Parts: sequence; structure tokens; C-alpha cells
Amino acid sequence: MSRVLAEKNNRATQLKKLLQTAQKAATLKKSPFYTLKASQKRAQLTTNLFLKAYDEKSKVAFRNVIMPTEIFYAMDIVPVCVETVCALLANFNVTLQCLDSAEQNNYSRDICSFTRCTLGAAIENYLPTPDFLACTSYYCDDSTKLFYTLSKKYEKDFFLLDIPYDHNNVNAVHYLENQLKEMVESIEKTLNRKIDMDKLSEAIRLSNEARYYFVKLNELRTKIPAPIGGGEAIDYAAILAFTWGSKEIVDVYKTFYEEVKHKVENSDKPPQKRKIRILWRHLRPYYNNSLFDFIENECDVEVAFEEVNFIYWGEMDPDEPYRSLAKKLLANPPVGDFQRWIGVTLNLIDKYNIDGIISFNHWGCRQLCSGEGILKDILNKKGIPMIQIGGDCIDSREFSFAQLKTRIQAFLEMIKERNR
Amino acid sequence: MIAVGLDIGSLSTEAVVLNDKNKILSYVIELTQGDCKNAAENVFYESLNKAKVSKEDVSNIVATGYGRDNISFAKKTVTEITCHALGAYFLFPETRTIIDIGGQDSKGIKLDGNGKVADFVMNDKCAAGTGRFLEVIAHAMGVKLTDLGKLSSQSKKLIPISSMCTVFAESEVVSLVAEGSTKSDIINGIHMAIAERIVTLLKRINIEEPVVMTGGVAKNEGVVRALENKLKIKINIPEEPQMVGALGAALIAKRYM
Repeated sequence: MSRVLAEKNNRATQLKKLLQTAQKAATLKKSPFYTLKASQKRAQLTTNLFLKAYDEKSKVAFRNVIMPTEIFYAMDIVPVCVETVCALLANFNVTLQCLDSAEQNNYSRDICSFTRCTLGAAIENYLPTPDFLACTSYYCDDSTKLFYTLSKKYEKDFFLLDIPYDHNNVNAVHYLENQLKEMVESIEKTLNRKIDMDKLSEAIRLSNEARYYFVKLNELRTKIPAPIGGGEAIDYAAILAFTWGSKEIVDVYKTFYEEVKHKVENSDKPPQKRKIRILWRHLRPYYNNSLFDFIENECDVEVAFEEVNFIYWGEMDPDEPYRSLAKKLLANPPVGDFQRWIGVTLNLIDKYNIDGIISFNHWGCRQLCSGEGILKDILNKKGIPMIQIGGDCIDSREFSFAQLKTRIQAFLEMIKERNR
Repeated sequence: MIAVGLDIGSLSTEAVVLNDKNKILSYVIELTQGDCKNAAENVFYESLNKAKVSKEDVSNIVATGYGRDNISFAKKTVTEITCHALGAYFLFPETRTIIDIGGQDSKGIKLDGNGKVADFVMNDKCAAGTGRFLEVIAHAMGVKLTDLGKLSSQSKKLIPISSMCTVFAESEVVSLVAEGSTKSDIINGIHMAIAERIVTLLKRINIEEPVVMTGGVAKNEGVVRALENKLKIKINIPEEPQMVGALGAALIAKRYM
């Protein structure tokens, strides 16, 4: 970690270093799944925001996946989602170097690769120096330690939002609302910049508008045959996005909805045999691989929906932004006992007419996979098959396509045989 | 009307020739030796010769196993999970659970009352406790792979083997030999360790009887005995457990003729 401080720490140097390394690596490949204009727009927006974070004039916050970003857009702060950065770095082909770097600095290979990759990227000085760091206590305790470590290394302030497990407690919303207010006050001091409450209300309104289109899109995805492939949709991972509250994401989700609507209304395909419909749990591997291509094209099944695209929160009140954001955070299905999340999964199975579940269990994840046994028992009783496939989202060294292929193909054969 | 099933595994490749009455006309087992295509062609032609049928008589060929996608003359590919299930159910029609331990992986397959796969589990990340693991141990002990079962039956004392990593287990075995433990006791310990690992895997799918064991490791009476003791059940072993996957593939080939 000492190299971060030893090297020249301005963002222009950091960006130059990243781009030089990326150019040395293999040429970037465009995802074969991006058939929609909206997906191109989303990818462009993500890249633009990442590059904007390297602008010396930008105020930059490192955030984890569920830290609300509406606050940042209201304060003209560029959020850098460290988990998303790992997926981006996979595109730049520098992930393995980052993972190696973390391991060489005594971070065990058993730690979640999102964490290792972020640490390695910081060690290699690829990341734009943040002005502060903000993290929620959920999903991962690991993230809180990561953010603490990074805050020490960059010598920047670190703010933590403690999300209560007991989300139904009468005081839970108030507890979180107060923390959000306090966090904003702390950010104001750190940046010497006041929040404009009208801008915060506007960010909430924009977030609502983006949500409106995504919810409508999710309704369209109940159609059979599936109007869009899961290989394209999973990269939206809407619940983890760091663009909620921005003007641009409204356009992306509106375009997404309109393009899919157009597809549904203008489909001239003759009625075909109903394909097996899969619900995907968790994320996917981000390095170059053909997992979704294999599932959706070679095996000819539909990944009808992904849990990371389920919009679990209601419309927010722009006049009560902090309270609304607190409610949004508490509405997250994994917050609280596992039964709550199981309920959501069961609803999605019904809503999307699901025949089976593929659960991609990220190695090193201690937060989201430990309840899978109970889920599998419940699904067994309901006659819904589920396969848990172990794999790594970031570390390609752990990837054996032949192994995954056999498991998935056998799982699909099992469902097909059942339906015979 | 002849159907052929091919099972191209990491260590061995098998072929089974079936006639239209589901009679097994022949089967052949050979080492893959890293060349899937060559091994598949060899067992294919040898099995036809043994069955006294010509290539022109063959109506359908199905390939399974890790090399299944590399066999251009196969008309369909199916995973070994489905094939082992079909093969085992064909040989023992009441089967509800299958234990398959092959060269590099181990599986537990649960069948419903109609012989269809209801659930399955496979080893993850590591090939400990599989055929390859036993090969390494046999080599480290200086004994033949085929003698492991017989030797373990002479064991007088159970020596717990703590490591199931192929590399670490090898060094543990070498240390035990150096300490003066008998080969029989060490091999028995190895078999018990494999059984413990497999039982943990199997419990994930709730074992139901009757149980059939397939794959090359089913030929090791020591592993079978250790599993039976751990599970407190009798395990059915086919006459040739190594060809069950290819038999399942042949049954599928026949279904689609």
C-alpha cells in the first residue's frame, strides 16, 4: 500500500497509468450481448462517469454497492462504486495484475475477489484518489474493512452508514434517516460545500423517474418468450447501480423500456415452443467468458429474470429525501432475516413463470450465500429445481468452463426430462 | 438398428453397443491418454468389432463425459449426470441414489420414482477422493491401483488421514510409511477419508435406497466397504461399473433413433 503514497498521487497520472496498461493488454472486446441502444448508452455512461472521476476538478466519493447515490448527484460528487470498478477493470484486462498485487501485499486469496481487486488497484495506483469514502454496513462487513483500509491509505475521511438488521423496528427508519443527515453534514465539512436541498429533491425525483421506467420494463419481461436475453440484462444490475439520481440514467432506462416495448409490440416471430425459463441469482463472471452465450444460445433456454434487477423499493417522496432513502435502504430483501429474501425469490418465480434457478455463488462471499441451503429445501418442496454453481466474478484463475458447463447442462437436462 | 454410447472421461473412455432390444452387444474400456478423439474412435471401432456389427449398422451415436464436445461423429451430446442416471436405472430399476466416482470428479445423483434425475451434486474446485487421487496414492505407496481394495481389507488399525488434498495426502502417506505404519492400515485410512468426503456430498441430496455405485472407483472394494459402513447400507455394484455412463449414452441414442 505504501506505493500509493510514494507515487505521484494526482488523478491525471493515475488515469495515464491505467490507460497505458490497458493498451498493453489485449484489445477490448465489445459484449456480444449488447443488442440494445440502451445497453450501449449505459456502458458509455458508466465509462464517462469513471473517467470523470479522474478529472482533478471533480469531487469524488468511493461508495459500495448500496450506498445511495442520490445524495452525491445532489452535491455534484462523482460516485465511484468500487465493486463496479472491478468489473470495469476486467474489461481493461488489468484485474489479474490487481489480484496478484493484493496477494503480494498479504491479502489472502480466500478473500472476496472484489475486495482483493480493489485493494490491488489502489496499490497499483490505478484508482482516482477519492475526496472521501462512504460505505454501508450491509451487504458486506468485508467492505467496511476495505473502506477503512483505503481511507487510511488515501488519508481521506470515511463515513459509515449502519443499516439495522431489524428493518421492521419502529425506530429503524428514523435511525437511518438521522445517520444520512449526519453523513451529509460530515461530507459538507469535508468538501466545504453545502448541500442544496432543492437539488436533493430533484435527484430523488429523477431517481423515481428512472425507477418508473425500470419497473415498467420488468413488467414487460414477464412476457413469454422473453423479450430480452439475461446476458444483456444482468449487466444493468439495477439495484447496485451508482447512477440513481442522475439525469442520464433516466434516459438510459427510458430507452431500455421503449426498445423492449417496441420488441414486444412488433415481434413478427411465429409462436415458438416455450423455452425453459431460468431465474438467475447473484452476479456473473465479468472476465471474458461465454457462460451466458452457452446457456441462452447453445442450450436454448431463457434467463427470464435476474434478482439484481428486481426493484424492491417504492416511489420516494422528494419532500422527505432522507426518510425516503432510509426506507429504500431498509427495503433491500437481504436486510434482515433470510425468510424475507426467500419470499421475494418465490414471488419472482411465480411472476416470471420460472422453471429453475441458477445461483452463481461467488467464491469468497460470506454474506449472500450462507442461506442457500434453506432456500433449496423450500424450493425442493415446491418442486422448483435450483443449482448452486460456485465461481468467481472477478478472478478468472478460478474459472473452469468445462466444469460449469457440465453442471449447467445437466441441470437443464434434468428440467427438460421432468417436462417431457 | 444399433445404438452406440461413448463416455469420454478424463482418465478412461468407454463405448457400449446396444441392439434394438436394449441388449448390450459389447463394451470396451480404454485409457483416454489425453487424446479424446483418438480414444473415442478406438473404443467405437473396437466395440463394433466385438459386437460383430459394421459402422453402417449404427443408427445413432451419443457422446458423454468431459470430452463429449470433441467427438465429431457423435450425433448428440448429453452430460454424464443424465447418462449415469439412465445407465444405473437400467441395470437396477429400483435405484434412487447413484454414487459415481470417476477419474476427476465425484457425483451424487438422486432419482425420482420414475428414474428421472431429481437432484445432483458434484465435487467443487478439487479432485480429492477421485480416481486420480487413488492413482497418486497407489504410486506413493508403491502398490498397484487394483490391489488397493484387497490390501485395505487386511487392515488391523484405522489410521486417520487428515489431508484430502492430493499433494498433501501424498506427503502424509509418505510420512506414515516412514513412521512404520503398515500399507494396509494407511490405505484403509485413505478409503475412510474418501468415504467421509463422499457421504458429506451425498447428504446434500438426501440419500435414499437402493443405492448404486458407478465409475472406476466402484471397482475398489475398500472404498465401497468404507462407504457401506459409513452409510450403513448395501450398495449395488454393476458387473462393470466403468461402462454405466456409456450405457446411459447408448440408451439415449436409442431413444432418439
